[in-house]
Amino acid sequence: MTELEAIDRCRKGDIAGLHVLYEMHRTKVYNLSWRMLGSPQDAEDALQEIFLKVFDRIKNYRGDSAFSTWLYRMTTNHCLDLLRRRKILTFLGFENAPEAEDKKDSEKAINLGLSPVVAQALEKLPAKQKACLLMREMEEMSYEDIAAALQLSLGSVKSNIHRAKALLKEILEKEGLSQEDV
Amino acid sequence: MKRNFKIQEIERALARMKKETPEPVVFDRVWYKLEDRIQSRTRPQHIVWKPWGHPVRWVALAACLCVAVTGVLVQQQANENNEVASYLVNVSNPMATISHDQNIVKVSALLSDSPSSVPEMSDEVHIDSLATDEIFL
Repeated sequence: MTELEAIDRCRKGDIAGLHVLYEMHRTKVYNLSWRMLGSPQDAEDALQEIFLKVFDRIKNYRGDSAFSTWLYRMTTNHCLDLLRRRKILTFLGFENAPEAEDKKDSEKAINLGLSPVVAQALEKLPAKQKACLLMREMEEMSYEDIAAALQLSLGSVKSNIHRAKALLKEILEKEGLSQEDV
Repeated sequence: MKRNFKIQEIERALARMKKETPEPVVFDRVWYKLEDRIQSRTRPQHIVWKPWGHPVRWVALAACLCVAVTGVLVQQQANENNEVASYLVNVSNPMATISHDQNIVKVSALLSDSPSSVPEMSDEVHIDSLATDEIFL
């Protein structure tokens, strides 16, 4: 079954269509969620929620852009929402303060396959900059696809990536790390 | 010791990270959960509308009810006002309503004179002529 056929079947409420789309895109959605949210459990939950949203909202997909772009937009929006909610909860004192979570970062990074130092620095980036950088450097997406996925202009994507790299450099320098640590 | 990083070094670090894949996840488990959630949602008992299920729904329902009742009351008030207004116009100036009645066709006074006088005259003539004929016969 091709992607278009799967989308059509999914639109008609056929779960088999969704299964095909899930098989096609699950790894990329999972990886992006994992890198954005920083935990495999959160990524699993996100994967489930995102494909549930796909099933519910596939009727809104008009086919103007590639399905993967539309799916990435949904993924990043979902992750950004979660991060925003987490930030509010932390601010209100309902979740552990970020300082307390920093201790777990190195463990998380090992699971992620990231350099622990870079992973810690990535956590400190603003959510949108982090999303742009991850999509560009880790998922190898084009600027156009990132712009479509995050609903930003091309210039804004480029400047976000540039700022993210500059900030990452600043954080690593502030920590007094050497290249070997990275 | 503080060290100056180059952007290229960071890009290289990110590229190294890219090659390492995250630990394998049980995608099947996620799919079964997803499938179960979709199927449980489509069961008939989940289609039943429950406006009391959430406080927001309560507020939405109350707002709808309020709008509906207000609409009915406003409509009734408008109808009553129209009736009273038309009654008052009738009472104060009954002719006004008659002259404004679209169904009445205004006819000239000359045309509207009773036509009974002319046939009466002609009748008299006929009667007279017949009477004379009879006399002659």
